[in-house]
Amino acid sequence: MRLFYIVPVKSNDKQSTPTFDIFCSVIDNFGDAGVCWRFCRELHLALPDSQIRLFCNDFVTLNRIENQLDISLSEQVLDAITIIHINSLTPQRCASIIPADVVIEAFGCELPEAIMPYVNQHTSLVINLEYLTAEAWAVGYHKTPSPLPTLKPEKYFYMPGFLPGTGGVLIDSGMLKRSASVRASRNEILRSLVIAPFRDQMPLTTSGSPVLVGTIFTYETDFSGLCSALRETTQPFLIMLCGEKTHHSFLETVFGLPIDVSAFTLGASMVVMVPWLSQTAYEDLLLCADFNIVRGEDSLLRAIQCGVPFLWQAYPQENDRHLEKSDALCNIFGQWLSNQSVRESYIKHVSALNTTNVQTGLRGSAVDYLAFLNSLPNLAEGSAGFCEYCISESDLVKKFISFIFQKFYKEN
Amino acid sequence: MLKEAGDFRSGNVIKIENDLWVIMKTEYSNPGRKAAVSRIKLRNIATGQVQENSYKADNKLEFVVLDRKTMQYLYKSGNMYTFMDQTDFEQIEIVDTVLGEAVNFLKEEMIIEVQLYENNPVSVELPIVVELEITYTEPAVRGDTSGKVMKTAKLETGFEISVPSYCNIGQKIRIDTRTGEYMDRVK
Repeated sequence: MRLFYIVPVKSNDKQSTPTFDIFCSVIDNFGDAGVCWRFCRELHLALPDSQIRLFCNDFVTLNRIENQLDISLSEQVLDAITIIHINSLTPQRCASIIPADVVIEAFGCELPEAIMPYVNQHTSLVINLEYLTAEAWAVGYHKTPSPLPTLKPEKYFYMPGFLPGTGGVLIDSGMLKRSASVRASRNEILRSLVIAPFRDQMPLTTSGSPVLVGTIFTYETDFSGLCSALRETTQPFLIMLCGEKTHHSFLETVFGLPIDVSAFTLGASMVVMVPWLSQTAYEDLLLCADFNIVRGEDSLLRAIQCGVPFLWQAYPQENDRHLEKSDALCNIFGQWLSNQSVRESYIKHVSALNTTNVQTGLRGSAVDYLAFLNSLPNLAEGSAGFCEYCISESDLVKKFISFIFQKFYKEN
Repeated sequence: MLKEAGDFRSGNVIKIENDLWVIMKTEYSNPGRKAAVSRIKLRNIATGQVQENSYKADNKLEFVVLDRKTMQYLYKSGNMYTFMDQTDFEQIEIVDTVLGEAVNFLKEEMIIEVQLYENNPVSVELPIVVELEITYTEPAVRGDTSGKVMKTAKLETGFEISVPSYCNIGQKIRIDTRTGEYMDRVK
């Protein structure tokens, strides 16, 4: 895999690097905070001379992503990024904050009323940085103006996406740099995630076929198909389950209720309840795996970045609108699978993982896990190719900075 | 007056800075967990410049209330369309660029709303549903009554639309003018 180095933009003597304020409103789960924190870090790596601030309304969730964050402080600096709690933006406080040259509303986050007069006074550009989607309609919205009567600076929509004509996807450069060393330490990393009584039983190597490692991080899901597949197959797997919802769903399937257990065997495989991991530790686990089943935007991109087979479960939406999003991703990724029957099977797996069973209200009951696990070798080349494409052709931070500089220096 | 972007329709007029823009087309999409986003195609009333803006559905834009007159479409001459005021029978001509996509659905004697700003027509509002006759389409394939197979049909206004394959020449169909799409056959 090719390593990707972000070259810092050199400041022009006559022009200074723009400053950035990113506003993030956490709705639920960890994606909002996770993506914003990652975006800030990558932006800082690309523009080390620029001031970058993250305004977030939920430090408890952000702390789960970045455990160095002190939730008792309303303002602090981590990794050269200033993090400020949105609730601390009283009118008095706002008067002392000079908003950045570029203000980013992450995922359509509303800017606090109190700061608006200062944004109108000091800011050059406001960007609505939308959710990632593989859907084609994003092309039509990307970089379009969004003038508002109450907003003085220019405002634009910026659409993350996989398609040419969209804004790219958020690649984590740190994860790229350490991928080789993480993979070299795979067994140590996996052992560190399993408590002592089970560690010695872990099937990491066998005298016969190699053990395959898979991670699973989903919303509420029916895993009965996966349990049957693991019981049936002679191929040993190490299944690493991440996140409370995944744990509960799997335990309900196997034991009928969410009991307190750290690991157990299923057929020739071992299933491990992985404790909560920081963003970096979760990335390392994904890198150790032979396949990843993931949910949401941020984990999807990390799984793609690993270059191994993956399945994606989209955030559930009303009227099954999430199926349009998972179908769109399959249409793009499917182009990297040269064999038509492999492509069709893959699309069926993703669709089933996202389709709700009307009786149980759970998704995933129709996934043919045995077929998916047997198809891993057929998916390997396409997964690696798609990963390479995203890194080399579709880097969001690179494209974003190019767009900002075009607008900012034209303005100034 | 401020109105949410999600409530705007084709023909509405908004004010951006000091310019009046008429909305030619709106499209809505759903990016994620929050409100929908909309893409609006606009034409500058003064300059004729066309551009596309994007908004969150709950963004508030300045809605311009225009004078409205109920008028009847009479005929077309070149790119000028003649309408008659239904109260005083005065006739006015409106150029096709002001009418925008409405030209696709205008049929003689149709009653529409013309919106005026300082006595100049700036846009028109059609009935939501219009009935138009198919003047040309390929013959229907025998036995296909599912309505899922579509074909192209030309209407009496010259507009081409997708219709189910069982629709034939001479058939009158109903069209939703907001989307430009086939609804059903007139029975």
